[in-house]
Amino acid sequence: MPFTQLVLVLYLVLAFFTPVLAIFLFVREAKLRKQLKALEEENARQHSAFQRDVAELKRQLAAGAQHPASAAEKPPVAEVRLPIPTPAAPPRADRPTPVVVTPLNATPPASLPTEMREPAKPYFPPATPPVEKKPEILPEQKPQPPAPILPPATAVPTSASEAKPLAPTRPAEPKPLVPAAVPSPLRTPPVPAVPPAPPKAPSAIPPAAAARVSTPRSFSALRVPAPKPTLQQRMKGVDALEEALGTNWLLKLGIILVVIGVAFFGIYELGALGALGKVAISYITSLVLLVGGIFLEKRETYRLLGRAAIGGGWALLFFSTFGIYHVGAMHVLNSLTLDCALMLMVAVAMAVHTLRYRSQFVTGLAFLLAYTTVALSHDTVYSLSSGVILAIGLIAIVLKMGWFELEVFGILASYLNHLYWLYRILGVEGAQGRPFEAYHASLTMLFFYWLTFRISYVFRTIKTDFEEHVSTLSALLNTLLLLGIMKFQSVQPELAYLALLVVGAFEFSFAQLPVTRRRRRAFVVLTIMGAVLMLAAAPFHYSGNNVAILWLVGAEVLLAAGIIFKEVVFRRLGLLTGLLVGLHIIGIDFRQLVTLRASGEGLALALGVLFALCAFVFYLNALGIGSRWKEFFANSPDCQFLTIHTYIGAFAAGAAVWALFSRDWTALAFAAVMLVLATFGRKLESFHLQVQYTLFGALTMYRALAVNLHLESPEHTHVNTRILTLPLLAAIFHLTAKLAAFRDDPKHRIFRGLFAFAGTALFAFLIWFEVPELWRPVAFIAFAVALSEAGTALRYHALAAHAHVLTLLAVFTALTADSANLHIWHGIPVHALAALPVIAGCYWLAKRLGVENPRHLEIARSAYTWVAAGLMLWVLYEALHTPWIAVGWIAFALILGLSARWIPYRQLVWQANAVSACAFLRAYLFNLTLQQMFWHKISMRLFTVGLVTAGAYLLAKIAADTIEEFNPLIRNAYTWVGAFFIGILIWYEAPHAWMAVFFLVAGILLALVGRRWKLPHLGFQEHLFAITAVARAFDVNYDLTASCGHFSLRIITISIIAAGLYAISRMAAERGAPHALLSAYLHTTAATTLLALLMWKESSTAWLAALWALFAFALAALDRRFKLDDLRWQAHALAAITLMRSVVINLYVEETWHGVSVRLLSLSIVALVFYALSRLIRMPDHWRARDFHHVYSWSASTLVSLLLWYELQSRPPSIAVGWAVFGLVLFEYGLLRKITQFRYQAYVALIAAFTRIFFSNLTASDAGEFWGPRLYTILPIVLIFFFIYAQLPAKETDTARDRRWHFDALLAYLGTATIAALFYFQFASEWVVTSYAALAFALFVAAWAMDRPIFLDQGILLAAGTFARGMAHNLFGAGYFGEGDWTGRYFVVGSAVAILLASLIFGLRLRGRYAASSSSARWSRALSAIRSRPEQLQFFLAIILLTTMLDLKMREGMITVAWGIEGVFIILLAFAVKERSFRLSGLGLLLLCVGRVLAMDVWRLQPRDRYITFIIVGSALVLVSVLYTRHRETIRQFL
Amino acid sequence: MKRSVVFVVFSLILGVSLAGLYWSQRRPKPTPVSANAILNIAADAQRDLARAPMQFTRLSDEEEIAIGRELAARYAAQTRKLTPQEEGVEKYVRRVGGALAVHAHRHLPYVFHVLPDRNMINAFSLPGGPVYIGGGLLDLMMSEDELANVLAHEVEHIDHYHCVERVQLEAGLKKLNLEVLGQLVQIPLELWQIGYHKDEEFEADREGMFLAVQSGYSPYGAVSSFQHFAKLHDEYVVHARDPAQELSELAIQSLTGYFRSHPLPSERLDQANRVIVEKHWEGRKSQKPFRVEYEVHNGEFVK
Repeated sequence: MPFTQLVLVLYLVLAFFTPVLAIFLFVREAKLRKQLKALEEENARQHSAFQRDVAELKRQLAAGAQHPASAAEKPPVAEVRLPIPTPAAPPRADRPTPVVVTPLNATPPASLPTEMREPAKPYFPPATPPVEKKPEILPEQKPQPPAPILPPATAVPTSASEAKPLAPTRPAEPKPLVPAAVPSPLRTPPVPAVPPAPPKAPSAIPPAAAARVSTPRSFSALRVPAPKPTLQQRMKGVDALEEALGTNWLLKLGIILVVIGVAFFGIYELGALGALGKVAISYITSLVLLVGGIFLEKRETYRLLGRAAIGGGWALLFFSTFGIYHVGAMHVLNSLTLDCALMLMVAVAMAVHTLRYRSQFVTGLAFLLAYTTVALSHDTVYSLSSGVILAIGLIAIVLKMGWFELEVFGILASYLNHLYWLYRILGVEGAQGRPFEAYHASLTMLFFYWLTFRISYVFRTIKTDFEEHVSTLSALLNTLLLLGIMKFQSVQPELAYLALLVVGAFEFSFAQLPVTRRRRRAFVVLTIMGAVLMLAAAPFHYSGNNVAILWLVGAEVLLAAGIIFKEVVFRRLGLLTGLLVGLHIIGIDFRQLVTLRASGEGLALALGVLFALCAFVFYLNALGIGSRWKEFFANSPDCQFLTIHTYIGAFAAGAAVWALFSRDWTALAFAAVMLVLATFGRKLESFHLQVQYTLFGALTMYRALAVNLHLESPEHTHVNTRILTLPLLAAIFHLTAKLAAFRDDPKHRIFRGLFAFAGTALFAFLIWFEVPELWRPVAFIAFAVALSEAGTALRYHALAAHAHVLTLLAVFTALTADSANLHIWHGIPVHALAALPVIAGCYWLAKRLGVENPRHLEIARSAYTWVAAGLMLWVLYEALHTPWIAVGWIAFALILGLSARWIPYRQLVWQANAVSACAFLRAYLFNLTLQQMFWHKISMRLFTVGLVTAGAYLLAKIAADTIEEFNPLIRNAYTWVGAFFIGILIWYEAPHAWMAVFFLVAGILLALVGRRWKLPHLGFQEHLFAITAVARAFDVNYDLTASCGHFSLRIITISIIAAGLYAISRMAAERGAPHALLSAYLHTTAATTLLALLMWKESSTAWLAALWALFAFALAALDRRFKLDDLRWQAHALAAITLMRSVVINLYVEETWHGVSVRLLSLSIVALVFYALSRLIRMPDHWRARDFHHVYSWSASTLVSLLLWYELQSRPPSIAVGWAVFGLVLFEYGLLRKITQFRYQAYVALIAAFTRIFFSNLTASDAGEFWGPRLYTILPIVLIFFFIYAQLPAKETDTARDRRWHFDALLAYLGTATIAALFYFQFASEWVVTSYAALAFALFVAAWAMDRPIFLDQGILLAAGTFARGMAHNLFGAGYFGEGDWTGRYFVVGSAVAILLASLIFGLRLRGRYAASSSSARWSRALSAIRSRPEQLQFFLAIILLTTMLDLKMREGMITVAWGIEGVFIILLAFAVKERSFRLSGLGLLLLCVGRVLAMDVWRLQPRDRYITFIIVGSALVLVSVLYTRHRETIRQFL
Repeated sequence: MKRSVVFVVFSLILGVSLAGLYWSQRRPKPTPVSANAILNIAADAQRDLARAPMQFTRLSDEEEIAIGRELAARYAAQTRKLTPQEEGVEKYVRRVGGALAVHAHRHLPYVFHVLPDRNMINAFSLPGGPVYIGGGLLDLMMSEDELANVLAHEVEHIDHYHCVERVQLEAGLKKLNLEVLGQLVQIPLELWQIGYHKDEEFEADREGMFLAVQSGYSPYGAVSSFQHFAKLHDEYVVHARDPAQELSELAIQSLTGYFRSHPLPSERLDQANRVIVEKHWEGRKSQKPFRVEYEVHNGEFVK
């Protein structure tokens, strides 16, 4: 019964609305026609007057041209030429209008009042909703005949934005030259000249302007691209956004939240109030909103607020009416019919009243809020009747006013409302085939929605493209939402195809109605939608091949219909359906074939026929229909579709072959298709067919390799089908290669080459499988020679490349044949003999290769000769006995080298070099290890290596003298090899103890011989022998214990070596050679090293450092006397190892000498020597200028620091203080004596002290101890830091270098960092954040008072540190259950936030004191920007900390409320300090509240928290919006 | 600055510094050199940085219990079976622990185990409820209140998510999927024995004292426990003889001590005394004697 009741109500609604709406529309149409007629007359009058004005203007222009002299006296701007438009070129919107050229009237712009040139344009756009900014209604413009002259002033702005006058054009409007040119219904009323008019945007728009306005299409071709906005324009955009947010959107959001909050309040039980009470409160609230809104709407300032209140009031009123029957907590009425009638009345009243304001916003707000509020409280399907009523009302408004955007939201609201109701009764899974009680009622209601919105779509009148776009969106949404919700509530899934078919048929039928075909877009949308739905219905009821066949039939029908009726939509749908068929056969049918083929090679007749049919149809479409009706497909995307059809056809053809043929014959069938396609492709010269038969070629090749090669058959057996099919396939490939080359261009050569290569490959496979192993090299090389000769004869040189590959195969088979050496002939392996024809073939090909490209020919010839040489090397290796291989190779190298005398081919020489290198390697790796004797006491090693060495010298002597390629470098290499082999022989033969001496003697002899015979490289060989001698001495001679007389053998041999080194040091290298000095240095260095080591062997441990130091001092003194630079460097080296020994050994010496510590004495001597060296050591002046000599003072200071450590180590915290004091003393001394390096040493000591406190001092105090070693050892260090920092003023010249290295900043940072570290350990961990905030505050005060930017930087860093610490430790790092007391929850972080906010006092005073940097570095610019505006960082860090604290510490239900209140306070603070960014952050926080409400609160909160949050946040938004509205002018001053 | 002013200030600072040096040298108790300051800072930073993501990726109680059971099963496989005497001790520990667990914030299946190892002077807990106490630590106990405070401390490690956060951190570092319990094998069990971050230890101490007091035990049990630990700690301080040795010890401490950045026993003792004063628990000094059946003298049982 309720269902019948609902249908009855709907019928009554329709019955009531239809006549009323018809009468209303009739009257309205009559009025509009009357207005249209009047406007036409007015337009004609203006047009004639305008033509007269233009004629007058032309006359004046002609008169001006006749008097150029008088024109020259006019200001330059008067020379601006008027554009001369033609009928074919309508005026550009941004061209100067005639009023711009008023200077023609002899009134230059300079004489205009200032107010005229800079019109009093309001900074913000008027505070009205966007729709209200649209210009007033214009009558539909009739097409005007092209006027002979059409001045730009007649150009009607094409949109509301263009209707706004441009700033430069405004001043001229008060003084128009041609009064008749001014009137334009779209133009804003002109601004009076004196005084300037106050901003009066809203009142300037008559109420009628809010209705839908249609404007003619703009001439986009004449538009210039929009210039890139400047920074100022972007900032204006931000300002406008803020204004819009503050005065407009926050207000709307606030009203929405308040209304929903009140609705929540009504829905949920409240103990103290009954249903009647809640209804009363709801009604009273709605009436208050309505009455207040009506009252405020009359005041200019609060008009927007009033309209929002009206919308919210109507929505709440509708909800109240709905709720008195449907909401349990408000249920006071028992009649559904009466409630529906009341809702209808309220809806009608709502529509009628809100339409008075002609504001889409007001009406939309009322309706959508009504939807939202009733959606919150559905109980039965009949409660959805409210949605039906709202939908009908909405459609009526949409059709009347043309607010199609509103309809989109209406569609969404209606369907989603319905879905929400279904979700509440069915759950998130939907019906899933389970019937439910209200199914039929729900289905009927859905169809009612769909039909209502579809009729609205079909019968509407569209005036602009934008409206058409919006309508399209609504049409799509209507169907998609219908289908989606039907799916959700589906109780019979098997009937889905029927639903799709019916809906599709309806959509298709709607598309063919004459009223629809008037609008092309509607026809297209509905046709496509209908066709898609009907096609989609097929798979729901059919499966397998039937679907493809059905779709293929449908595609052909649509294609035929498109050709018959010349309708592109049908044609394209047909082609797209064909693509769908292709996808189906690829994705479904082909998978069946694959499955079938996986199980066997049997005949698949059905699938084969299907694929063959598809191939035929697709090729027919592409090649037949496409060629017959070219005009339908050329120059359109359909051409691409036809191309895709050919590919689908090719796929189908391939699949058909696969289904219908088996085993070896499949490849032949593929090849046949390839040949047919190649024939057609050559005839049609089709690139796509070429691609397709190429793919077929690949497929054929794959099939031949996989099947026709018969790899499964045993080796050395003949297969008949292989012998039969491979030549056939090869022949077809070569034939196709001939057909593939349409033209002689690179692309076609590639195609031909691929096919020809495939043919050759198949022949090669035939050889591989059918020819015996030892004969394969001969067969391959013979085939290669034959192909090369054939290519030369046929002038098809690509065959030469095939010859290359075949030669490689020949070499490969030669190297791998008979690897087990089963066939031997007179001790020589047969496979080595079989390689000889390949060598001959290689030399033949190198000589006669038919290649046109000379570079290619050169490379190929070189490769062939190298391959032949390599193969010969291999043959010798295989044929000779192992000791004689190296000899054989060196002999072959000699032959090659000598052959180069008669054959002028340079590669032979390089091959000789390579072969001899192989011989040397072989001799080194093998022959040197030979142990057997050759003859008497002559070993085989000596004999064979000697022969190789002789060969080396022979090549160096004979060949090098005759052939230029054996250049000196190679000749030297040969002699080096000889020397190397000689050295090796000495190694094997010389006595053990004297070997080093022999090496050095040999080297000295080589040096002397080289010096006499002018062979410098022998000098290098001497160096090598000398190095060997020294190394041998280090390795062996220092360990000798035998003696010779009173001296040990060690002293004798090392002394001889040292003496030899000193003696030869200045003669080892050629005099004047570049490396002579280096050679001498190395020799004396080696001698000095040997002597220093002797001292180390002889002296005691404790005094060695002192001895070395004195030895270094002696060397330095000798250098100072005789200017021997190498001795100076040796002194440096000795000093360095002395320092190392002091640190490593002497610091640990505890013995005494006559009661005095040896450590103290020895280190004192070392320190003294170092300080003396720092003054006496000889250095280049530029080194001394760069303070290199202070290395010694640095070393001395390091030793002193280490001594301090040893003296103070019993109490570790003292060490940092000691170092700091030492640094202080060094600094003061360096400052007094003006020695920079001492100050640097002081800085290092201070840095060390700073580092040290982290390892001892900071943890020195006991727990709970305030005045402990931590405090009294760190505080002096802090004082020292800041004291030294104070002595580095900015303009002191003596310390300029210190400041250049930023030591002043470093010390300031160390001081502050020390305090920060002290606070970190001195205070409880939760209070560290507060101490940091206090330190930041102090730094800001210091920066402000002392004008030191470094303290500002530190303050900023500390503020950031406070923020990080607060966030990470106190908020996110806090315990989960503890800290429930007031300090843990709010006070600690709150105090830090308060201190940071208090520091804003100084931050605001420092604002702009330090200007922003213009450095190119991004970091530098960012830091200087922060420094120039420190208050921003202070504020935002504090606010983020506070906001996060509220989020984490507040109860979840109250977080949004707290944020809302915080946002209000931030905005108040922003007003107080006049800071725009603060205000924006407040706005942002309020928007965050809105986001949180929508994303979280509405879903998670308890009912009571929820409506409290909605009401309070909404009220906060409204309050802020009122503030913005009230103080709009004040805010503008801040911007 | 004028020379005279500089000289005066220099003299003053030098005097202050030398005075600090003098006081430092006069201090009777030597301060060990360690990397504790840096380790504390690093551990603080690491813990603070890790804590925020922990809050956003919190495991449910059910997942935590499952993880704890998995880990406990692994631990059970490594320990030997208890003797009858040790089972009696475990029963006693479970009774004391059960009385404490009812007052925890989170209602988890707390289970208390005794590890039969006299060398283990430690107690630890696993996520989801398992609590272990070593035999060596039980040997140090002189009252049931000490036992209660130790157990309450471990319960609070579980209760305040310290244990499960260690699992989350390790899983994050090793990219483990905690839904697959088998992957927990990659986390060594020793991770829960080496103590927690300083703040977490303080928190467990403090909240453990509350738990013990709520269960009727004396907070001075915690004080006497920390006195035992302080005495043990002082025996392990090593002093370097040269900078190189000091540096090497610092390096070793830095490597091994990073995860042992829990506070010194003296600091914990100081906090315990402060809490007693703040909460006015000075009157709760009387402690219950340790169970008669488990009186220990020189490591031997005495009935």
